[in-house]
Amino acid sequence: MTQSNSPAGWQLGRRRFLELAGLATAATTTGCLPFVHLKEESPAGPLADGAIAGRTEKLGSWQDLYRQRWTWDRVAKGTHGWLNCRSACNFDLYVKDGVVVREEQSATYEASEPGVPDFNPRGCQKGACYTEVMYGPSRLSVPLKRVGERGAGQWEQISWDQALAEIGEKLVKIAEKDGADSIIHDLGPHFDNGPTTAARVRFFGMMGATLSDDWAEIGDLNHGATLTFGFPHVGGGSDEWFLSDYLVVWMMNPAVTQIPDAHFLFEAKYDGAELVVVDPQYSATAVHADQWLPIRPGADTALALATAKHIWDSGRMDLDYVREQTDLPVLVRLDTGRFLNESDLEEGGRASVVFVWDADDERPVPAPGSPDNTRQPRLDDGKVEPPIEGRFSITLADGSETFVVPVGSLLREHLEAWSFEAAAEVTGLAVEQVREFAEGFARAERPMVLSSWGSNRYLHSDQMNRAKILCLSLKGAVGRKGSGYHSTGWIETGSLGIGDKTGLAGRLALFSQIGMGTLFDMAIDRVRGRISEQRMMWELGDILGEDIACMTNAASMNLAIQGIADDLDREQDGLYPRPLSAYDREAREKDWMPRLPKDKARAWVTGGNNVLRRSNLPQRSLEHLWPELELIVDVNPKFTFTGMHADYLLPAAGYYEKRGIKYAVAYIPYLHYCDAAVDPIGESKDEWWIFWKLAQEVQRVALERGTPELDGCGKFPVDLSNFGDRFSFYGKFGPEETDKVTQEMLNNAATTDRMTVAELEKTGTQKFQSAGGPSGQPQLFNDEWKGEGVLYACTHFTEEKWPWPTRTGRQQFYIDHPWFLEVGEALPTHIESPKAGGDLPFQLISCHARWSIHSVWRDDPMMLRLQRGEPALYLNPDDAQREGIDDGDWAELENRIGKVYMRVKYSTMVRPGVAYYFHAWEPHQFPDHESYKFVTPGLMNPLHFAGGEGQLSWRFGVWEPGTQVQDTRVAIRPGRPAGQEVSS
Amino acid sequence: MTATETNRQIAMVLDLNKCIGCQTCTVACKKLWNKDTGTGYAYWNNVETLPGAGYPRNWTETGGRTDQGEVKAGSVPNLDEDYGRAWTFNHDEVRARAGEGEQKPWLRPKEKPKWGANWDEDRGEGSYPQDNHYFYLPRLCNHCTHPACLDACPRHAIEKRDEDGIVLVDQDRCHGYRFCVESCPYKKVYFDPQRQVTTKCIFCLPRVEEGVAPACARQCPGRLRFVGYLDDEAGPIWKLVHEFAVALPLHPEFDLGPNVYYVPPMSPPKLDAQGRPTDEPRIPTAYLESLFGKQVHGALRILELERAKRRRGEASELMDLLIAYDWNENFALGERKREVL
Repeated sequence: MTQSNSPAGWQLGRRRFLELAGLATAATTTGCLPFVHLKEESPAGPLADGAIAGRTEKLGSWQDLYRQRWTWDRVAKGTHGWLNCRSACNFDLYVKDGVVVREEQSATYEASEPGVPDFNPRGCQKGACYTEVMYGPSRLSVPLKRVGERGAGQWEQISWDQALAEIGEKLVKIAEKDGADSIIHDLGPHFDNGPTTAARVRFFGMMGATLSDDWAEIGDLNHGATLTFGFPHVGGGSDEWFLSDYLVVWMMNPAVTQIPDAHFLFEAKYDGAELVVVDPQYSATAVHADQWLPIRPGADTALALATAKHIWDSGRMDLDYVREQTDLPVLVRLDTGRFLNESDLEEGGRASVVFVWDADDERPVPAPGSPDNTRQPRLDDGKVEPPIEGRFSITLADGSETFVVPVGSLLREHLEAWSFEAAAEVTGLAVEQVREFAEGFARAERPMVLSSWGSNRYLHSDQMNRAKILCLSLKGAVGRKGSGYHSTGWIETGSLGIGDKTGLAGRLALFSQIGMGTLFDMAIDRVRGRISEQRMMWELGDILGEDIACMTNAASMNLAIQGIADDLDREQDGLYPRPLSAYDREAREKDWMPRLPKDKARAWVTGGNNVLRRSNLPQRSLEHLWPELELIVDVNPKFTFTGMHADYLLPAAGYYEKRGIKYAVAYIPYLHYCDAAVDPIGESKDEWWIFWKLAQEVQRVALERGTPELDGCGKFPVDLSNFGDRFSFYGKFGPEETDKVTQEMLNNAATTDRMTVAELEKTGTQKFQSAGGPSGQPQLFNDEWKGEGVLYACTHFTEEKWPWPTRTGRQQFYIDHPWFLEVGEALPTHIESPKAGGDLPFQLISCHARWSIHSVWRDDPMMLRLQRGEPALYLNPDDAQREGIDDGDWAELENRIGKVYMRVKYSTMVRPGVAYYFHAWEPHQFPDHESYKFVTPGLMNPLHFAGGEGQLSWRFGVWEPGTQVQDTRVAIRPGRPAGQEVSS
Repeated sequence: MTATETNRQIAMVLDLNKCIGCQTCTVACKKLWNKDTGTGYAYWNNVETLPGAGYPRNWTETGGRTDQGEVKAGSVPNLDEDYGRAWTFNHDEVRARAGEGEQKPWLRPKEKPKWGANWDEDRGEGSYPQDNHYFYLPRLCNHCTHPACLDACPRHAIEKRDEDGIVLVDQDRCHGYRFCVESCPYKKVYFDPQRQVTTKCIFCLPRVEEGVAPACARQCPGRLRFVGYLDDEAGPIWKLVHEFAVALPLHPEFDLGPNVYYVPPMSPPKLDAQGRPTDEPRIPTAYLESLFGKQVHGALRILELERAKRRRGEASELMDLLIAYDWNENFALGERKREVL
């Protein structure tokens, strides 16, 4: 090939390559951003180094040009570690001349067992072009300090030394002045299970800063599962889908949101399973279904209750399972609506013990597996076969008579109203379709429901999920291989901790922080076989988590500091007996829900979160929270909307530039390791280095100032004078030693303790050794799985017969908490979706995106070119035409909160009356930098503030109030932002 | 017509019942081969939502052959109206001018988008909820047995390789006349205005030469692509195309002998006016016939019959093949000469 044929683009590529390699110097200017990044294209394809970089190899023919492109210097193993993506996919990272030029799936997984398809080749279009983001136009590569007003876009480049010294000093001063808990560490949802998260959590945990748990606040917490099972994360591997014979995808869209796993659904169909999709939209998953149920949004509980009734009425209930595993036989007092408990029957009885009816002796007996049933601690320990229906007279301790009934009786009566006709009326489905669905469910041997994080976005999602689980439990499907409930399980990996010791010594040291009495009682219970080891460790983990860190739930925190309390009281007026704020107050008075900071938030440190992109009504945060913050720091590989409004931007290394361990959901039971394929771009640094250095600065400042011992939210003292020493475990881990940190974390969990970093560098992935535990909350409750066979969940209860971690020790369909009784939600109940924002014609419904993982790929040109380049509001063409809006036109979305603009895209998948969008567009991709979030109030269900009883107790990511977006209503009209033509 | 006989023909089968429209294939191809400035608009592999105008817009309307087998002139699609150029974006401006109140710019294409490679995504046709429908169709060069592009090139710059039937545009001989672009009825040849040559899918020639499947196939997380030689009776292609006859060429009426085959899509039942499920699929079979020819009826029937076997617990080799228990067996390209893992 001749020099004259060398395209100009290649030379450009060469120059960009130099920039990337850090040889080009970033200008330090004010008012313009000194980013080291590519303007348009990354150099991936055109780096034909033989021709251009002066090497002597000659290309023999034009075909060699192509052969040259498929060459590399070396392959590193990687994944997308610090990314809130539930898929984990092993990639080969092709490195050439110091640049990761492309990535391709490694595809080295094996089938879990014979007769089940393998997991290859996990990946998606985003993972296959992270290099575009890594070298893309929003990449941060030098530390920046704001020089104009917040949000004004005026920055100057500063050195790391300056950045860390200034931030360290501000953190110490704020901690002294307003308390360490006024420093908010807004971690999630982006996080990994490696040194990056370890550094962040260790730093802010030790400091006594407020660690916010935004699991529910982002709308991901499955309250319905926690109410029923005691924990929200249920389900095993995605290859378990393949084993079901009646697969109901019910509020999930795997073809869009679980791309590497979706194939199992369609393969199950080929294997003879019936694939059913229940979705108001004709989703990309629904197009491959055998049955698509175009349900009215928010009506899912009605469909489930009719199905449950049909299973029961048609005699397809698994009675043995229901008696043993569920609360249907547990007795409820008709006079109070509360569970009959031991203190009702005898003086000094324990309120924790619940009862079933012994039909032979005609008396209530403690339910097997009931909490504190020391004689029958396991679910199958009973000789009785308790009835699930009936009405029995009993004598209480005070001598009075009352009636008790099993939960089953109440439930049966409750279901009576849910004929196919009634469900059809509510769901908008034909009676025949409801019947076909219910009959298929009832007839199935292994029914399975996929109901993932997106199923929790209605105010009454808890009811929907309780009702779906009811259908499965009546069939005995939960905790049985190839059937049951998939709300997305987790596999736990090790952490570094926030105490002074790590490893076994650390774990032992932690026990000393627990009251000896508690520990002794637990040990006795364990020794006597009253509780399982899993359960004991689970509860210990909770106690520890609460005692050693200042954690709060983000939604509750936001209610106080983001200025949205009044909005929500107005939007939820009349929905419950009392205003939301009254429930919140009562929950705080009774210490049901933690609330930090104690007073104002003063510092906000983020990086995984993009709070102003993700929050509902971010304008309130900007108006109320932002002015009170003295320090806002974004530690991030990318420039985000929140970053635009920060004081400091610290460039974090990208996914391929640092060691990482991908967080692990159970769909793919392999640990995924990400190697540092190349050095961090520009001046970016990995978080372990950043927070290690920052910890030394904090220590230096504290020593200089003579900072006294501070209070860690009333739980522990905070000594900043040796903060840096403690952070590094007194020098055990240096700032560059992420290999040691990673190995330590691997050593700290039973799922990974035989893995080594050296081996993972070669393979990138390794199958987990067990299903997790027993020290943290993410649990699959499968004690037997040791890396062999399809992973499935909840055998701890169904096979080993340990009680479920609920009020009754059983899968619980009756919630006797006074708040639930007061509003008539004790049993799974259909409640209409309220009209947040006003009684307006369109329901604004969102889905996780095909084209981005949250906002990470949202502004990436390669991805945008495969969409329409801008955010799109999907409308049914009939609706849009009626409103006079053409495909591609601007439209205004308005409700009583405000008005925003989006371009309309026609789609026949969308139900008329629904305005549909795929989430996570940055506000600065909209006119006036105002996204749909600016009209989305995010309702909060007051019942989720409840506490004090069984599973209704605050736990990190298990039970806490959240926000719900799908009830939002808007009017949609032709309309355009100022200065724009309607179709411009 | 030039009947270009080759010793062997490499081919691909795509099972549309597993395609989820994720476009990993599109990106895999783009990242590996097609990042040149001049072909930013071009996607050797694209995925379009059907029914729809596709990419380039209304590509089915021009090119191909006359009834006499002569190459038709066809037309060259317009860069903005039909392909959609590779829009550029204003990232820097948005950040620098973020403080300018209501005048502040927002992030968007600098050029007004008129069309794009996935413009019709998820649009479909029909009335909700009775018969709205869509499906995804991934497309690449068909490496035709009788390529129109080859016949149309006055420079004889297009060859069909003897060893595997891959159709290539010789980048040294090509003078950028674009007769190939005009004549290809699938519109899978692209002009690079910067280099003044046309480019097209090379069936990942360097990979295939070393026994590695093309990037679009190997990177497909939907596991819907099979690659191998058409005459390999032990391989998946022969079985799907010939033995079970469920894999059909796209637009056989173009008469070019395409070597990319599709397992046609099944779909959930239509609902009647009262919302009751009917016996008819949502995707009109007549529409599928317009894409895949009359054989589509038989293919769909075979799929249903074989599925029914599995429902009854009986064996079905076809279903086992489409399930792809061992995904590596989707690719029958001989020994892997390069260890890429």
